[in-house]
Amino acid sequence: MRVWRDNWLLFTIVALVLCVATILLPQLRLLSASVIGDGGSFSMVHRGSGLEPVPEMSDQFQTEAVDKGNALKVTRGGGFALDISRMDRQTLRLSAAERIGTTDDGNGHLSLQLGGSSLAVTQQAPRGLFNRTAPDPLSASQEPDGSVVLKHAANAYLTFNDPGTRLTISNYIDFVTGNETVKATLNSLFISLSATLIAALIGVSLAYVVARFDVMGTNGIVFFATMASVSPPFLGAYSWRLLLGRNGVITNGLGVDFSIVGIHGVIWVIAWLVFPVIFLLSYSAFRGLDASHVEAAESLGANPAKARFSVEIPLAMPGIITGLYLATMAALSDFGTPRIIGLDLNVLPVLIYTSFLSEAGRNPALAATGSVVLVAISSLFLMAQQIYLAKRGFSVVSSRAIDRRPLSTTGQICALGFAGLVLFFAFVPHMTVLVTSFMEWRVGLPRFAFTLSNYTNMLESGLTPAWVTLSLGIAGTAVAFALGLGIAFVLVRKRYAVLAPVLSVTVMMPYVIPGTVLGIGLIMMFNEAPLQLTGTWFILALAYVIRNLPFTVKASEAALRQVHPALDEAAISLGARPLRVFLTVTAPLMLAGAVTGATLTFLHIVTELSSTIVLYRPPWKPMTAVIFENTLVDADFGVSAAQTILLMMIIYVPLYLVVRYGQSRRIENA
Amino acid sequence: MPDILTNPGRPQGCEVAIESVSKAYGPLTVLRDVTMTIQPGEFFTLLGPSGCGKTTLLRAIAGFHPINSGKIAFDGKDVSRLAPWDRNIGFVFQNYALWPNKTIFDNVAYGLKLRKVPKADIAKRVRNALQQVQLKNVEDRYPSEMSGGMQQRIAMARALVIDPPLLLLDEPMSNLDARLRVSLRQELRDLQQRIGVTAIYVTHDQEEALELSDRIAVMHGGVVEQLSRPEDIYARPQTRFVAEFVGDANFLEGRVAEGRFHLEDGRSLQLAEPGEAGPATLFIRPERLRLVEAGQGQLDATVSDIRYVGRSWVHKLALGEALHVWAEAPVKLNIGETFGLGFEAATLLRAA
Repeated sequence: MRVWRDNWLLFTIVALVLCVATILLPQLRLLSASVIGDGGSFSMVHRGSGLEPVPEMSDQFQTEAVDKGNALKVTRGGGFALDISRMDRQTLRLSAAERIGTTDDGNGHLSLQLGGSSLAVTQQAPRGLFNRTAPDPLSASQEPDGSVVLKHAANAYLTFNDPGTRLTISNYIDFVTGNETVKATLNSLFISLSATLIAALIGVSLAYVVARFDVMGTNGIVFFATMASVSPPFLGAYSWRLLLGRNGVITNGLGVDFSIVGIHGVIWVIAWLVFPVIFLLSYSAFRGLDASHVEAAESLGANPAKARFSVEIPLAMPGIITGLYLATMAALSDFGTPRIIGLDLNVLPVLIYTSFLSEAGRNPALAATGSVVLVAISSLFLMAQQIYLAKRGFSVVSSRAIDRRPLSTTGQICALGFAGLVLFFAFVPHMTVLVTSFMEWRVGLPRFAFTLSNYTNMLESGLTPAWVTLSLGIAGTAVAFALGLGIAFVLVRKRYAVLAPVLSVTVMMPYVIPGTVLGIGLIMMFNEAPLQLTGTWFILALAYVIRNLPFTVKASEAALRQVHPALDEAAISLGARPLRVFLTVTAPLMLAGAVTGATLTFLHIVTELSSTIVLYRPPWKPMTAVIFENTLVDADFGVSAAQTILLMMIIYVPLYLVVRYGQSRRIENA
Repeated sequence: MPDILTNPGRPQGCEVAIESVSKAYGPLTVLRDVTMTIQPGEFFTLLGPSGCGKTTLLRAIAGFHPINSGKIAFDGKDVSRLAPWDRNIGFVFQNYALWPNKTIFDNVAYGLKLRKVPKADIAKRVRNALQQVQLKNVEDRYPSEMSGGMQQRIAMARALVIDPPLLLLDEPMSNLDARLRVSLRQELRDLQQRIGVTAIYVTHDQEEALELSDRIAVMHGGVVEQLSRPEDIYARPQTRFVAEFVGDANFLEGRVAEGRFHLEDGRSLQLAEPGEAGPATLFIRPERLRLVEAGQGQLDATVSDIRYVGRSWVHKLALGEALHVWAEAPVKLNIGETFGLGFEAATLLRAA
């Protein structure tokens, strides 16, 4: 067998099987949950006074009392009709056009067969306070005329349930006709598009200024933007509400009647959350322009403004569009901000979460339908991006970077002022948390008195969440990194027919799956033995690996494309076998590029909220979940602030190390 | 001076036999039924334009590309199904493919470590190999610190240090500037002669091929157009493609009849070896075309253009309305002057 001789083929097959089982199947499971429904049910109460239908508890069946409460007419789409009439206080006659069958397993599980479907009958009987005898059990007997006589307890509440499954689009019909669902969808679209638009105006213009003009402290500006790009996703929402909420520090202090809570606040906060990714991608697109392209325009008589709009921005467009897409996706799937700032505002991720997990009104079918709609919307965004890139896509290979234009003193002040203002807004949350973590908290309000008690409280309450976060971060990064390296090698160098393209598509799928949806899919998939992972550390690790796989694979692919195939072949010609070539030559050369990808993976994992909040069960509760829940219950923010500072240290120390030492270790390839 | 020659275990160059090798990428055939035998110790060149299949053939010999049909044998042993890492060959890549993250020592020592050579011997052999390519005290440096020419030498040392019986070179000089290329060529030839390894060299540079090689195979469209010694390739090309690709050439279309070559406009000229009658193309190098006084040659022509190429002047000589030849002369002639042409050195090419 070729599989046993070719280690890479074996790896590809194993990786493909794992990816299909953990990425594709949960999504299919969600899809099937949204299109498969049971046959519905109806309930009735039989009191001494007569038969009463319970319309609010009936699903798909219509019940109608006739004959002054002495009979019920039950119908369902598809020609189903059943007549129920009372015989005495504890006896009913059930009749239909055709013969009704009954089965009784003797344990009180009674069911009727009628018109191709089966109805399970259950009763709930009230039990008097001093009544010592059990209520009479259900029993059914077949009559010669094809009807059934049903005996039940006195004053029983009877439920008829059709457990048979069938394909149905009723969930989707409910979704597009439901008030809440339509509103949540429109809110999601409106928020993500308007937040992206605001972020794009800020991000692209700042990127252009910093990339094309000789602005002081450019490296610092880019570093701060990088820092902002990996902030915990709920940090902004929490801080802005603290400052400008109904009882906010600034709103109270100034005595203005203003609150950030509402859809405008969600847009504002998300815009600041997603602007760094647009800035960073636009910045590298502008820096990647080739000097000769711009010089060609200038030599033909284009002034700087003309060259900017006719040459520079169009050439940077692929990078900008990718930034816009990533920002829209982040805005669309953000769970924390609408939950904290939106209050009663419904958006799709929140709707999915509450309908799947809330104690009351749990509705998994709605959650599944919402998930499918959300994935469909993000797939449409991806498609739009891909179509744009395919049509207008080109890669600018820069042979000579553009010199930054010098700035006059006034220009320098304007540019620095702009950058400073943008970074100030981006870092308002960080500064707020830092300051409030040293403030005393009384009944949900900070007092201006310096204290370390928040930190001591945090240490006393235990650092378990920090260890959970760290262990998940390290393990998840290691697995995603190793898989990413291997899969990238298969995709770039091996290119097996069929297997490689399928693997590529499967691995990239989580790119369009919001965290909430991914989490629910995993719960549906791994909730039963032998693969019961829900509530464990492993399901969190699994979710994080899956969510980051597209990024590690892309980063490794990019790193691998920098490694010329001849470098592998040189080792082969000297007698090295494939695995040895990979370990001694290819992997070390990819490392420099892949380490950056791995760091980003680590940062994504420790700040991950949307899938965490669906999947975690104590004691495996990561820091993001702890902080998020504390901010929701309006408790003293002090400890949360201290925890957030700890989380930011976990994020920014590795980021700093990579930025600081990553450059000098970069290896020039021939 | 320590020398690879002093290594007693060093094998002689091997014979490479290529039999009916074909290779296609999907519908695109890149090698069609190629057959050739390369002698032990020979310096053999595959010459041709890009896309002619020369690199594919070299990589097939190395084992990087599986072949669709045919056989490749080293010293009579079929290696067609052998993995590239088991073929024991030295390969020098166009971009040198030095590992940028390893020192020069680690680059050169890689193949020895794989062969489990004792540590002390590795150091000695790496030093010897670097000396062979005229490099000293560079072991601890990184490839990025070296010039292109030095990288090229290191790549050579890395390929030769394992004492391969066969050395494959894929356009190793194409990234170097012209002057360096000329001096390295001579070094490469000397080194190959000294150690006796069989070398197969791929290039599109005809000058390089003519200077270096014992024999040359000129390839075009996946087939070997001509396989000969350099002097025969240059002086007696068998096809128009070879004549055009190697050196400058004049071609005159016409037909052979009654022992004479007739141009299309009716004029004719006498040839030393006219051969069979029929359509043919007359071929002569510009420097072999003899210029004599008007009326003294076989045809008369008028100078219509002059180009200076350094070592001589090349003159465009009009034979008629749309017919001209190029002739090289050590002195500058005048435009409008008429000369007689001597075609004694011409050969005839016939359509296959």
